[in-house]
Amino acid sequence: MALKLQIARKEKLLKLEEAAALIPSRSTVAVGGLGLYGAPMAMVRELIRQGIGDLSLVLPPGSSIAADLLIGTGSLREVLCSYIGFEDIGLAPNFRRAAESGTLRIVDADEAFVVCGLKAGAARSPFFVLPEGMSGYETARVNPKYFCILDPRTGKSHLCVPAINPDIALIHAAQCDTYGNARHLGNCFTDLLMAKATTKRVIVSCDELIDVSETRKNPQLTSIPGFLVDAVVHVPYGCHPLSSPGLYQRDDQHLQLYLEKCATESGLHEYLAEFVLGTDFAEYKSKIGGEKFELLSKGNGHA
Amino acid sequence: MRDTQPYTIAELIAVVLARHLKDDWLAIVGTASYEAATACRLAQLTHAPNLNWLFGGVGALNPQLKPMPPSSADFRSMRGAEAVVGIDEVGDYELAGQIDLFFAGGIQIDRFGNLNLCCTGDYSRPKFRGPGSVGLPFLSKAKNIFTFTRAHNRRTFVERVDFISGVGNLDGPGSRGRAGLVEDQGPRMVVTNLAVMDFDPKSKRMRLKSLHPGVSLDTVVKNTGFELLQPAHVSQTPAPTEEELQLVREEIDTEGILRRI
Repeated sequence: MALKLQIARKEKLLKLEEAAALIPSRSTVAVGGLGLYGAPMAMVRELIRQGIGDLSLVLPPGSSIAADLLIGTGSLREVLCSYIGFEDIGLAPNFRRAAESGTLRIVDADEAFVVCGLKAGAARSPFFVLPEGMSGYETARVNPKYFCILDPRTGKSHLCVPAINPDIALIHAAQCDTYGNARHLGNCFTDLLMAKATTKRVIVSCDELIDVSETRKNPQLTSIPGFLVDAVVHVPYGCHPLSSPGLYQRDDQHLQLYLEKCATESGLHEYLAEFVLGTDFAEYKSKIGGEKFELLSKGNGHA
Repeated sequence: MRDTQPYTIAELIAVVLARHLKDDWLAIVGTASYEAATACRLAQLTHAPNLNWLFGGVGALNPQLKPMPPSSADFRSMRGAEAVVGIDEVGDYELAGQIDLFFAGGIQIDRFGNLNLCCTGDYSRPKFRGPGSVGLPFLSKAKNIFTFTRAHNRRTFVERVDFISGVGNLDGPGSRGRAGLVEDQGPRMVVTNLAVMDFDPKSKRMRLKSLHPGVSLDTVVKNTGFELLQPAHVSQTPAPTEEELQLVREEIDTEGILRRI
């Protein structure tokens, strides 16, 4: 008697528009990457385009244009951040303007808060206990989410970070198969922690869609296991104007243009109109131009 | 005359930092810290072959930096490295107190070596909003801290930071202990575009150590927003040697980032 054939495995591939539509307004959304590297920019722009608002943002230890652009739209409820800036290129204009005018609710965190909070969140533990001697710094004073407990065995006081459990995680990986097994070709930063800590939906965008047979050849390269991932979106150059580690460099020229535009509120609206709102990803890419993408990919074979 | 010197300020800072790195240390370098990264590699090539250092963002152990990448989060920071460790793993080493030396900086630095990367003015309505404290809270667990900046002026060097992103000697003698920190750990050295400073072990205050070539005592005093302790004899910072400069330019920063910034 013939064995019963396996029924088809569920593929998770969605269009950018469909994936963004999975994000309800008022969600707590974690956005991956680090600084000028590996943030899911195509997803971020789509989210703005669809007008998904009133979001609470959870950022990695360092964030740049992903956070700054979302802040610029004025549609955030709250931002949990440790560093928002453009590293060697400059400060974050929309973040600065919003912080200095008091129009943004900022939960000032730091790397210890974000990383340890995500660690606790990943294990569904209520909080992370910091070691003795983690004290004296002022994010612990101004951030009301930090708290202290006494170790019942030693009677010593310890600073604690509450678990961070986003509803949604938006992550970018260089490669991913249709079942959600993702590969980072550089450091995975806090992306895996974010995926683990997220309670509702993890959406992975990727530059290259790979076949699962490719994944199986080198399973040790999988940085996020597929069972954590709910949707996969194939968007080549999906980090632009940021770098996708191992594939292409950041577009400093475009980032400069962004900083110049966003120096004023009206410039920000011009930028949004040209590169975000009245356009889609295909049109965005044609505005940047194939030559530019080729240049950014030059000499950047897999690390 | 500054213009006729055969090295840039960033190169001088890197060389001075390198000379103070110890052979058995584990050091950590943050984002866009070109001088610190160069210093670690230079120390390995000169007097500290056993120095281990982690390049922030990307978590690279002992990368070769030929050339220097634009950011420590850049994947090219991994080139020639011996391991790549995750952000959470780096956090473990930092929390466990395993890091011998942290390189740090800030938008404000005060006389006790406390650092601010968050904001100036009142926190609830900041005059200037900086990027945020990032990894500076880990300074609470640092055995040694080297601070560096190319902005030695009264805006940066203030009597008291408006916000403590990373601890130095807090309010002076005894205050680290009272805050739960190890009393005799913390800031050791500050290297700027004008001078080298250390900390007086008794008063815990910043003290002038040497003036860079061509810089007068008056210039340093005028550009420091607090009373800088002065030793009996102020020496001159030894300029980079030909060998040091050659190593920096030909073996580390081959694309010349330290010559441009």
